[in-house]
Amino acid sequence: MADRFTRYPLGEGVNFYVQPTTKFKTTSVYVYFHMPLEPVTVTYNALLPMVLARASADYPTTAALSRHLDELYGTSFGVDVARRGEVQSIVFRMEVAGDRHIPGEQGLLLRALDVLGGIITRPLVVGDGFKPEYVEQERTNLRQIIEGLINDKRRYAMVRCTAAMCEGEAFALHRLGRVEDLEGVTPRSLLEHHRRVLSEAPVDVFVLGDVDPERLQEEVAKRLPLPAGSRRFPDTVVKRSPDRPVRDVVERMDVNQGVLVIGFRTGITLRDELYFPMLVANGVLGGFAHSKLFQEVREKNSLAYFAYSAIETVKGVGFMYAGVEFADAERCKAIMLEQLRAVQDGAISDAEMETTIATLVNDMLSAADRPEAMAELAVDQVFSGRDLTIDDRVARFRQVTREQVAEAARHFTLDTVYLLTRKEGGA
Amino acid sequence: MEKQSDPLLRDELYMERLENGLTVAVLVKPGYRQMTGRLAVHYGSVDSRFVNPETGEAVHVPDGIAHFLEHKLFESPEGNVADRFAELGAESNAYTTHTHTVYYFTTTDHFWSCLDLLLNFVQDPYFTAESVAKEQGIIEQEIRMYLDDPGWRSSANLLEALYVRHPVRIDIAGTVESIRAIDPDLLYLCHRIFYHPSNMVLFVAGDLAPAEVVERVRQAFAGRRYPAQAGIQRLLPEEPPVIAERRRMQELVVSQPILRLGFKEKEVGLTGRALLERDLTTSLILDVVVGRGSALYTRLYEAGLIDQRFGFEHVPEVTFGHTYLTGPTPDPAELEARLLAGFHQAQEQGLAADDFERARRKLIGRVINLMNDLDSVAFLFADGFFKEIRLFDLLPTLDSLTLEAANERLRNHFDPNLAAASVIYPRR
Repeated sequence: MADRFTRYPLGEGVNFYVQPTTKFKTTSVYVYFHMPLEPVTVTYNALLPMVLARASADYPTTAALSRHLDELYGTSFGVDVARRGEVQSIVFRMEVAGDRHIPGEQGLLLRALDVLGGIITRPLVVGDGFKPEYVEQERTNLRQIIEGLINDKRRYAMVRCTAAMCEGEAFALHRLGRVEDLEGVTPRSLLEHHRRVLSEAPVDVFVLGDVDPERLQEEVAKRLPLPAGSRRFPDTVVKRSPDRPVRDVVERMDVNQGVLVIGFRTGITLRDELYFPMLVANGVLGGFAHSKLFQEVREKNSLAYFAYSAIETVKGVGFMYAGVEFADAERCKAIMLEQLRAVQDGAISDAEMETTIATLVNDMLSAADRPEAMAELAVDQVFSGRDLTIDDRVARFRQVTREQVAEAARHFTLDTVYLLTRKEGGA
Repeated sequence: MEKQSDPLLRDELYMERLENGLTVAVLVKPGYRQMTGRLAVHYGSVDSRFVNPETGEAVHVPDGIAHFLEHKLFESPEGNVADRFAELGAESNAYTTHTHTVYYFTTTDHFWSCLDLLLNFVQDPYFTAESVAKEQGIIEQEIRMYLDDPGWRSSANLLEALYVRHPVRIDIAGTVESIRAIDPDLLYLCHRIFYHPSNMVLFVAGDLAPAEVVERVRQAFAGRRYPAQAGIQRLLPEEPPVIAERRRMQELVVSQPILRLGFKEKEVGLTGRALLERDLTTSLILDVVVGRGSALYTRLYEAGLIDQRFGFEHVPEVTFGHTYLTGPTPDPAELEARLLAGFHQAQEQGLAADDFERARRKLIGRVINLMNDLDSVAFLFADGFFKEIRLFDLLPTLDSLTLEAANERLRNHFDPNLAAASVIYPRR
């Protein structure tokens, strides 16, 4: 099976990727604008798609836009902002029913692309800026979403550990930006930023569905007219090891359960030879329920309801994290670090190797059944510069040896220990 | 084997009931690399009281036992079953709802070994006093984790406010106290009664040959004997047609208050097409009255009372049912008042025909979309099966709905006398 995109360059730094398939009943469209992750613009990049999604010149109210998409058989449309390393990507997603599943319908995709192209390139402008009410409302919404990160204690703890570990680096910035930048945003400054994004960001457009690539290439180019500009792909600064002693951070809050997050530098990215061994190392250590962390911390010692590890492979960092009873945090940390040492020493059973590789292979093959996962893999390729099919990747996983896994794990260098715990004197 | 198909979805579903009572359903998905197998048991958290068919006596088992059993079945004398799925490269998991329990795997290889493993582990309970004690520790952690989860608490509080006696008001996991009363004998009893093939359905989806699946399942059950079992009599307390409490409030570490407003169903007991009609009609009403394209949504959004996290759902069960609307808000009292006023106004005016048709088109597209994803289809199948709702009933039922019936339902269901609110406030 092909399961791969064909690339059509639409211009300097603008690429159209298409994968014709009849497997899905819908056609999925993803448009990515890649911007550098930087103070102040981080918040503009997060706010911009929220304002764009409210209305366009063609559909000048949120209700009109929403009703029109409903008429197109519930075409779903969403925006997001993602972070890979020190790159912040503004993402537009659309999914539209395939004509052959709707009796008497033709050209649903092109009508949906008209809407999408309009939202991105022909925003609703009032005077010299975006519609002020929409900017104000979305600014409030974004503030509330950023402040609401605290609601999910596990995610909040990860965000706080990353910020502490990478203080002074762009990677400390959250993908949604900073509350303090929001005050300075005006309808006009945001519209100026929109022009900057359209002319400076490298753009990737992905389409999966029952489509004719050659014809669609022209239709997409027509519907997404972008100004000429220099589109340079943003860099990420990778640190192989910390440049200061290990930092301990304790945050106190009125919670029922603590969250422990241990942050590491790995320096291993998706361009490295050790990339595939690193993915396996993370799997053996804590990526799954069969991994050492979950087995030792939860199953053997009943110390936590969850205990996992995660890696980020553009910046080259890694984490181990667990939900713990307050009194058990130290013991939990010791057991987690012990598991890391075991992987670094190559104390990995045949079953651990085989299970982890089988699980990673299964995850990889499963991506072929999910349009969004396919698009995300393709974005990884843009970052890595390597063109690997799903089956190529499966082959790479199967070649990984125990020695390579231990070597990859030895790149985990302790940087920051973060603990979210109860307030002193609390019950 | 019975073949069902849908002309719009262009999918085929094959069903067969085996001699031992187990229903096997196979959805054929050409071109898919993933294959999934799911064993659903008609046993959920609300089934703590029942008549023991072996003795004829009414039994009351500890709350949370269905969920506890779900966790414990993964344990075998040879270790954790999830590890064996993982060795085969498969992902496995399970979940317990108020009404059913589902065990599943999803894989891209070794499908037949996975299927055998699924069918066998669910049928082979292995509980010891020691392992039960350890699980009590783990589930206690799980219960405590949810104590900090605002979404979960907001939902639990609404159920306690809407229902007076129905066990849906009790947490699926039970309480720290109730699970301490669980022992191996109770687990074996519940397993024997509820995990009978006639009380289960196997759903399989992937690029597979249906006849081969059925044959394999037959073989897997060949050596097993089950006593004939009549339908299980579940005992539910009489639920009065009123709410328990108008409003429940709780403080948690959140950035903003969270409102969850619920409308309790006046009459329950529907199954099959009737229940599905009620569910889809309610979805259309919600979309027209307060969906993104509605005037009410626009007013609430532009007043800053809701944001894109606002959502709503109708919960259609056989023995209980309600609708809820929820989202973070700076002013829960104001949002609640405006939502109630919005439904009142809609009841007076009735739904407009073009809005109703637009909502219907949208839902058709969403159903088509949902069929792309094996997890979503499998979830939908299991959720509907014990209510006698079939996968391919969706589009024809949606097509059959009328504006008149929707207006009738709008006036009947969104009754302020049966509305309750759950509010989470930020802890100071």
